[in-house]
Amino acid sequence: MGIEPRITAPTLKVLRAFMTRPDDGLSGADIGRQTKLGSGTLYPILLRLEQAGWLDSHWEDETPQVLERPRRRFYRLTGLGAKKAKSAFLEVTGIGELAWQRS
Amino acid sequence: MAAIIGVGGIFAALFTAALSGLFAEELRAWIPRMIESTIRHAVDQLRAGQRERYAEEWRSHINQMPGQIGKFAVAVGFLLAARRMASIGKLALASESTTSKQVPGPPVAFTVSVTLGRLKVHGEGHVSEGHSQG
Repeated sequence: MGIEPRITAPTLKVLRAFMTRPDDGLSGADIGRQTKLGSGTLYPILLRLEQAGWLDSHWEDETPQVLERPRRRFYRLTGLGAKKAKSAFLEVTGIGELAWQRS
Repeated sequence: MAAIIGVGGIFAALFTAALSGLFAEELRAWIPRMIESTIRHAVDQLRAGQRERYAEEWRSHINQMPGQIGKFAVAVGFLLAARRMASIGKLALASESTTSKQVPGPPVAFTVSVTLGRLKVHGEGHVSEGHSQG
């Protein structure tokens, strides 16, 4: 388990993207589209969250040869990440549970 | 005079249009190479263990972006991301090294023979976890 990530506004945006689609894996490009964060901000956040065990990631199943393009890497919120994200939203906005339920 | 200026203006406009068309075509041809070299440069800044993963992940991200200018802007962002991620890597390594336990090495057997005048002292033992037993 890595260093606990700082909860900044961009980090909350990323967590929010996962809250809206908790069961789907999201690629970096998907998250970027949803959060409107630039790649320079997004990937360091994803790395911090992954190192802290809040996110995990996996390659899509097919090989690049079959797909005829580079494979996408999908990120998902872990159980720990979901718990931490809820408490982060609760701490910051006071509506953590509400935000989670609405998504 | 006005007619000459008018005709000159038309030629100038046609020349500018042709030139900008050429320029756009040139740019379209070069941008994919610029993107690729930017990604490679960004990936080189990462730790060795991260490079292969992000090279593919970032190429896939670029692949999902519409338009050459948009792709190039994202690629430039990877340069910034890589610099930040490299410093995160250093922080994580520093944190691991301060929290990691010292792994004891295998015990080392030793034999000591000391001759004090006529007295010969002989000892055997082994060293482990920073102290010796004899």
